[in-house]
Amino acid sequence: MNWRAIHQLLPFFSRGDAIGNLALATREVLRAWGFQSEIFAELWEPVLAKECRPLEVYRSRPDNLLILHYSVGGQSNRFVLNVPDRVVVWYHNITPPRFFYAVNGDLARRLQDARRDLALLANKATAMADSAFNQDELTQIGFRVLGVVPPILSFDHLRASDTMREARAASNWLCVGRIAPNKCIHDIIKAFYFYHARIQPDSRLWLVGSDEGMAEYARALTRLVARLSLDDAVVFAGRVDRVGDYFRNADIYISMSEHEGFCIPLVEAMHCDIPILAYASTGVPDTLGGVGVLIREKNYSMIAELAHQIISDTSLRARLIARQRERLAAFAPEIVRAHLRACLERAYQKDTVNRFGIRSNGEINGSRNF
Amino acid sequence: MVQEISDDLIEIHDPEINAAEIMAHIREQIAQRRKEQGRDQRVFPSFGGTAYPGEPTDIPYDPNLYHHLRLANETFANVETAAQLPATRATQLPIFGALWVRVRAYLHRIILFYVNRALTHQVNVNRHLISVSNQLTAANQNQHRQIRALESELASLRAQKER
Repeated sequence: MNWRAIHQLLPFFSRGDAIGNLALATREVLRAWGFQSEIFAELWEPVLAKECRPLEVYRSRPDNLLILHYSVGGQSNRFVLNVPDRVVVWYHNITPPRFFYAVNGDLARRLQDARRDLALLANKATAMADSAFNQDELTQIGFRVLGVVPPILSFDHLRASDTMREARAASNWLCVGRIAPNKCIHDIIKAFYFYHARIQPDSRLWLVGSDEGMAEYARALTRLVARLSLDDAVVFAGRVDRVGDYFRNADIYISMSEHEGFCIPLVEAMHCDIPILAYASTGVPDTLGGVGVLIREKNYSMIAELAHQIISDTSLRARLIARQRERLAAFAPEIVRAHLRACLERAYQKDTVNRFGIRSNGEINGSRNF
Repeated sequence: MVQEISDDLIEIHDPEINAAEIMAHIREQIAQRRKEQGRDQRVFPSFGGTAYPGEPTDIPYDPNLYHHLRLANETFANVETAAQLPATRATQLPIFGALWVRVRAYLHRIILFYVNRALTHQVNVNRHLISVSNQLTAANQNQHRQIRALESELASLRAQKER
């Protein structure tokens, strides 16, 4: 592997965002391996201004490898079509736009654009996926997939203090992630309603995550909470600096999400020894890899009873946590780094596509589309 | 709303945990709580706009109504707001051309800022209007079905009376 530099490109570089964190962690790894490595972005949060460079100043070179983080539409997705660099798409999945028509039309449009541009990239770039679910999608589109590389995770930010002890209820549900319709926070609230009203009144649901760009959805959730008289029991914590405190405080981690490419909070819950109850959709079963409890239907009273069982049955809880600890080993930094290295080495092997769409290995590019 | 709980509703991939036993226990618990606290008949509000109801298969319908309603649902958020800045003779002039490209792009960005704000508002209004149309169409379908059921009941009652 003899790249001059391995750079990363993303449309929006944000603090606390899974892809932003991944870009930073990947840059550290690449630099440790001796490569020149920078992060280029179209837009960035001011606090990250020193960590990235504008897309406009990127200098293309055929001996550069450019990793494009792919999850949403943007200028960068089309920019890479016209550069001489070898391009690898790191696919984090694209949330279906239908989730956002009602709350953020602009985002819905950008997701539609992302889906359209991804098909164009299949002829230009190879790809890595962060889960088997994402890999299947790439294969169907016609990408040559280099392999599955889960996010490089650091758990340093999960160190907890004791500051939340007083806010603790007897039972605490936790969900971490953006307040967005695909995460189906409304379903968590409905299941929690049954738990709080019929099983354990001394309980609290902690919802940790930003609602930026999702004001309409956040308002609908607040109305739902008020209508169910859960104002004192449901906490919208927003984006927090010390998420470890919330994990430490939790008795169960719950996900009702209907679209996830990977879902990092599930791994964080494994790290913090919080048993997981999740709706089996999209990338969630791959990330859990057979641990935790998956549900196939959203029956709220059943979910409440199941959560109660997981919280109160100590032997069940201990067994679930033990299995989660085993699963956590698959996401150890040294293992993920090895996957990343293997994929980048595969990308280095000559793979060209001629103007007839035929790869150097004789395979017809994108043939799985037909 | 009462939901039935099927046997394969949960997945636990661990030979040491008996998922069937857990489900049986949960069913018992739910039955016990219903006995003690009564059934919770709460109907939760559905979130967001009402979805396109789809063409009915069991009652006659106006194809035009569903055609337009479907297109309205699919397109109400597709608003093109990107700048269109093709090259012109002026942009190709030496020195002045480059300056003009920058000024023109800047002016477009200012205009688009206000246009997008107005469009966001309009898309929200459209969403509410389409949601109401969807809901009325769905209600119309249900009423049509009820009328059909009442008509057939009436017909059978008339037939009984005539006998």
